[in-house]
Amino acid sequence: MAEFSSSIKYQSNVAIISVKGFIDAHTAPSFEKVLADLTSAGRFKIVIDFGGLQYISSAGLGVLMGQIEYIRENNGDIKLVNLSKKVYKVFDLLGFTTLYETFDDIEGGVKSFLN
Amino acid sequence: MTAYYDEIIIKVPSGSAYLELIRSFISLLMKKAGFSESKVDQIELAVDEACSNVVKYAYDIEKDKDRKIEIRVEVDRKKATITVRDHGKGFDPDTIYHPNMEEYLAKYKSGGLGIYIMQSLMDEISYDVNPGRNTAVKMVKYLENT
Repeated sequence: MAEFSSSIKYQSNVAIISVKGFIDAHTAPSFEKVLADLTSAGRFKIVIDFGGLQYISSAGLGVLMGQIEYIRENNGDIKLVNLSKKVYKVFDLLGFTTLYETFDDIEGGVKSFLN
Repeated sequence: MTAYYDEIIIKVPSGSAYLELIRSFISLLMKKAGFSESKVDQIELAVDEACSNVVKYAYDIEKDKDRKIEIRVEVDRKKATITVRDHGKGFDPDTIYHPNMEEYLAKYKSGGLGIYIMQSLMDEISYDVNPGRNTAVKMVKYLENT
């Protein structure tokens, strides 16, 4: 399995990033680049599909924190979907689930932007 | 059957590319030690955070030629003790950042959560800092909640 890979598709004006592998201090820069490329392109409504994510450490959470203020200032947001129990627990441990909305599937995340 | 180890030590280069290997090593030993899946995940993350801090902060890439992380695992019938050791510049345990998470999140802060995570997930944590010689972060997790 690749350490980290991602793909992006678009639905309406929402960018959906599907992430696979793991996000730790080694792969966090790749994850950061994916998000930074989107915001540089003026895409601020972002759904991140963590269905293929095996593991995340604080380095991955740091990437989200580094981008979220800028994204929200531009009327956007990051919605997290398909979190495994293991990944959800890391977000929950730090209270990140109060800062980021989570959904069971991509459709839920996309719809939350359209409502 | 539960396995018991007096002591197992691995030494790896201090580089983020080795974190995956360290996690696999810890995860396997903790599973064999009889920890629940949830506790294995917690220990794996705590050790990753300790090692990530070594990679980020312990060594001077220009000056320190032999940059290594040593991970020592000791398991007995009650607990696992994991010591992450480096030979870098060390740090002052009194200056460890203790974030107020409510404020941290409200102000969109970033970084500095490694030790907070380690302290949240492990039952005991202690530091032995001898700058330039060795810095050790010792973490203990009990098989049963104490």
